[in-house]
Amino acid sequence: MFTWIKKIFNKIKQELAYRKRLKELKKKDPFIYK
Amino acid sequence: MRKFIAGGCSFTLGNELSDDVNGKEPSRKSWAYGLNLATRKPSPTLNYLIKHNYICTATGGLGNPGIARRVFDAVSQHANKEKGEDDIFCVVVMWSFKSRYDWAMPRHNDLEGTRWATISPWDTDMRDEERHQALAGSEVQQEHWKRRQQAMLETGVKPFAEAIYRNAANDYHETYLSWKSIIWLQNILEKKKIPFMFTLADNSLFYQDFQHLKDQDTFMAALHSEIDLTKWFSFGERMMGFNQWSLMEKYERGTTHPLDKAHEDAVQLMLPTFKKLIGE
Repeated sequence: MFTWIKKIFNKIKQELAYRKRLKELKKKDPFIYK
Repeated sequence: MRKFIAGGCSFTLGNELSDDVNGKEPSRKSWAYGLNLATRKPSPTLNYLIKHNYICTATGGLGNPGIARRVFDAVSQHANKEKGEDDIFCVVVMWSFKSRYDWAMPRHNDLEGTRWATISPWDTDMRDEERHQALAGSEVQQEHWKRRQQAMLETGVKPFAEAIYRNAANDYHETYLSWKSIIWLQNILEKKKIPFMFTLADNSLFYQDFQHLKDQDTFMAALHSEIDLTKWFSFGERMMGFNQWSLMEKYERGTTHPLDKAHEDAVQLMLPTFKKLIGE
């Protein structure tokens, strides 16, 4: 039971960290397509 | 004619400058072309102008490993067989953002040279609203984006980009890849005795806020010590980059790039260091 909750919690944590990092990278890196 | 080779990303190709046609041809308003113009001079007999053949290897969105690869390719392709490397007058490079990757993918016609893919954080899934904001409503860029998204799915680059940024990308590895690319190209140019000048778009190549990235550990310190900073031009303290300088000085901008005047003024700032480095 607790393992299952822990897994979901970690997944959400990873997803939030991923989105935060992408947001930071995109802030600096100009959007341009060839 | 001897060759003047320029490397970089959209800041060097000249995306959004006044003569830009969707990034198809290198701009003649860019900092790199400006430096090339500055090398023109009358011949010793004064009856003609010594010019150089401008070869721009820059493309929009290119990362540092890709920049190094394309400059090396140009150096090896354009060195005249009889004159050797002496046929190359000089190389100038504006290094870009660390967060872009360069990868040789399984062959596909939509890839550069049927093989190479540049991967940036923008190649991951993006909400419509976010895309619209980034493109500032530009229809041309919206069209480009749609076409590129289709190609990215077909070539497998998009799922790969997702996987990299989700599971593997991190600042330490990106610093390592960028510095390795810089040292690799620097050592090749030095070995071939080709004069060169390096500069940069953004100081995140060396700093995280005020902290130098070489101070992370002894490995990074050793890697950084291999970079010959005497061959660099920076736009201010702590290795300020061209884009940061243009923002600080409030130059007019397009959607995401500084426009012609910033490039013109950057050339004037770079000239003394450039002339010293190429021995003019």
